[in-house]
Amino acid sequence: MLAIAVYAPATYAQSSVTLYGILDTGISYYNNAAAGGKSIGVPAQTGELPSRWGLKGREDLGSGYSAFFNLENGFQPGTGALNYGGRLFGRLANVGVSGTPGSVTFGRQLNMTMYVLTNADVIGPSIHSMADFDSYIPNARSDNAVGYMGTFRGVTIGGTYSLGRDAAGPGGPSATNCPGQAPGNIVACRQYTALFSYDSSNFGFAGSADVMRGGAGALAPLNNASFTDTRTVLDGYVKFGWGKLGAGWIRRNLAAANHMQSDIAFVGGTYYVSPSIAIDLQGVRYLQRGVAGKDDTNSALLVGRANYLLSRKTTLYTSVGYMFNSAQAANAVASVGSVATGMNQLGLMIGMQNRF
Amino acid sequence: MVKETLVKKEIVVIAALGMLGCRAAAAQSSVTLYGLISEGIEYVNGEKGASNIKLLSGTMQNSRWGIRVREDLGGGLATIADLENGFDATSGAFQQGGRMFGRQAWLGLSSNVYGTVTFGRQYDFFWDNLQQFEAATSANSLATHIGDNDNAFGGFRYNNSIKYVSPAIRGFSVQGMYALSNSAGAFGLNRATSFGASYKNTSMRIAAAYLDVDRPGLANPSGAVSDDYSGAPFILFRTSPLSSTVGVDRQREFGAGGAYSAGPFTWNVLFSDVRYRYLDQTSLHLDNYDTSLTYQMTPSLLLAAGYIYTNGNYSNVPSNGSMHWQTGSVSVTYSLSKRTDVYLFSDAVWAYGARAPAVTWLNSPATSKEQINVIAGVRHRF
Repeated sequence: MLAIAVYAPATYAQSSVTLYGILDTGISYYNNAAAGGKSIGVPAQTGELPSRWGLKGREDLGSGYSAFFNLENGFQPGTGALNYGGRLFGRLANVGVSGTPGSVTFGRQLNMTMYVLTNADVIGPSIHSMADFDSYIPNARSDNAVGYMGTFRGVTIGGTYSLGRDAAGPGGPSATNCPGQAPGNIVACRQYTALFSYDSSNFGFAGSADVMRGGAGALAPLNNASFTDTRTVLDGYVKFGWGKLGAGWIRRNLAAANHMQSDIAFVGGTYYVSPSIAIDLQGVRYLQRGVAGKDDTNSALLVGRANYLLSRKTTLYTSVGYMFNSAQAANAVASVGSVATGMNQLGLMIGMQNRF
Repeated sequence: MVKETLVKKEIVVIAALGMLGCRAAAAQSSVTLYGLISEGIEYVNGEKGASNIKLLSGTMQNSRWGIRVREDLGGGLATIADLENGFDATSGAFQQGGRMFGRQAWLGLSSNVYGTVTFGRQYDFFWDNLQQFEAATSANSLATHIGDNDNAFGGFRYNNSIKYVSPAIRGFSVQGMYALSNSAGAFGLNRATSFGASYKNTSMRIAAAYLDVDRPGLANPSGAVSDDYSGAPFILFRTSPLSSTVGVDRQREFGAGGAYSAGPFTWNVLFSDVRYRYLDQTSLHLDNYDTSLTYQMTPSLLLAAGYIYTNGNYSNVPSNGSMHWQTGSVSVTYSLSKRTDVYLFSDAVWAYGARAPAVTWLNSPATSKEQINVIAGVRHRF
């Protein structure tokens, strides 16, 4: 057995390789499942956060520059299975250089649709979240990408350009089988994302654009290189002594065999009852237009979550979600869940999370 | 967060600092990277009618690596977790159906007073409590109960499981586990329940286990026991004797065993009663009687021998319902260090009855009623 040091001596802190991870699991319940009845089980993809382990490294190059890498695996703690379409490092696999002018990253990386929501969305990629309406949101990563991000006096600008956005799958939203980089079709599976944000000590706002192309053989509806899926996000947040409020708007335009437009609007907050207890609340409204459903597939979601910090690294939590589905809508309250069309749905989870 | 610092010029210094850091931190919280690699060369006779020579991974415990986490929360309470990958050392491939952490993946809380609760992919109490008494483990061989019919050798694990282990009071502990089907509207479709009890003192260990699995296999692939029940290269008894497409409706079993140590000798006994009911209403009842003896001749040399008698009986089959097996093993294990050993062992299976295949673990069945293997290999732990 090799026990690795829990802290690195300060003198060598400039260059390091770190083994880290998050384990997050528990028990989830929801009613009105598509097959009828209720579901009680261990969540497959995420509890409060998706489980992961990884290696990250940083090497000081001098003159304020450093080289870095991120290798991060995502897995299901209930089954031990790989997430993200069977990739070994499905969450992150990249290398780059950073310095005062910003960082340049090559490889599979988070794109700007992920970063733009970091502060304003108080719920994040949790089991009951706005990902119920758009499962791309917690999977906003790009393969074969070059990314830039820099922060100057609180202003952050960033972008990614991907030559083939998603090379694994098709296995759902985290693996859509759009590898691109194919001879003869230079635009297939390209994706670019861009971010502008401002953060001060007590408030901030951000906006992003994300345009992705389809490719032959990719997960429907983006199964043609002439199809595009576009997301524009605007959001902001304010911090208080007791916590934080955040709100935002996500517009999606899907130009595929059928056109679809949707809006997600969200308002939420985090309240610290004590240093070890935090309550998160969020309301999400989903509006969809297009041949798929006109005005009758709209939904609304209310999420409440309580976190109890047993230590700096271990949290016990409970999440409650309630989905109001309109007559033709079938948006499930829980990640990887199901719901009977037009039914409202209650979702509950109790869970535990450890960071190492 | 665990940091290992790597500076090219001073790597030796850093390694030493790392070890100091680990010793200081061990009492509080720790993250441990560990593993075991075992590999051996095997000669086996009569496999599909011909003898064979193969290189095998997992000849003395399956190859694995993992990350073990412990964080002391104070007051006798700790967060514990284990992520354990299983791999084939001969090919580098993932085992357990391509899973990242196919052997174990769990997280929980452990209290000195109230016991331990863990969630995730875990073992049952045939593994936790009785595997130590099975000849395949106690006598350093691969002499499992024919086809690992009682899962004491851990052929399958449990997804979506919640496990409780009581604190040991005067050496006595009780355990329980429930593995959820994760199936909406069909709560019992592919679920499992297991209970255990154990006792140990300085010279003796005794334990018992119970297991009940409903509808294992791929009818509900996200259930408690799925692809590793139906998907391995050869698996005995997991389909009806009348049709290889009809699976198991229910597997229920009870087992008890013990070990007694006197000087350099340890004597192990294990009994298990296993009942399979298939979806076509045929059923199978197996009783395994297992005993083994080990002799620690010198601090580095272990000699061991094991013998298993298994009696089996199919019900609702037109003929030849009854059968039995004899399984034997002898082994020599020589420790080169605390972490590395080499071994030589042989397993033999004799089958009696028209429906009884003769097959040693990790091999294909013989065309005759006898199969014997010889394995030489190495095991390293880190």
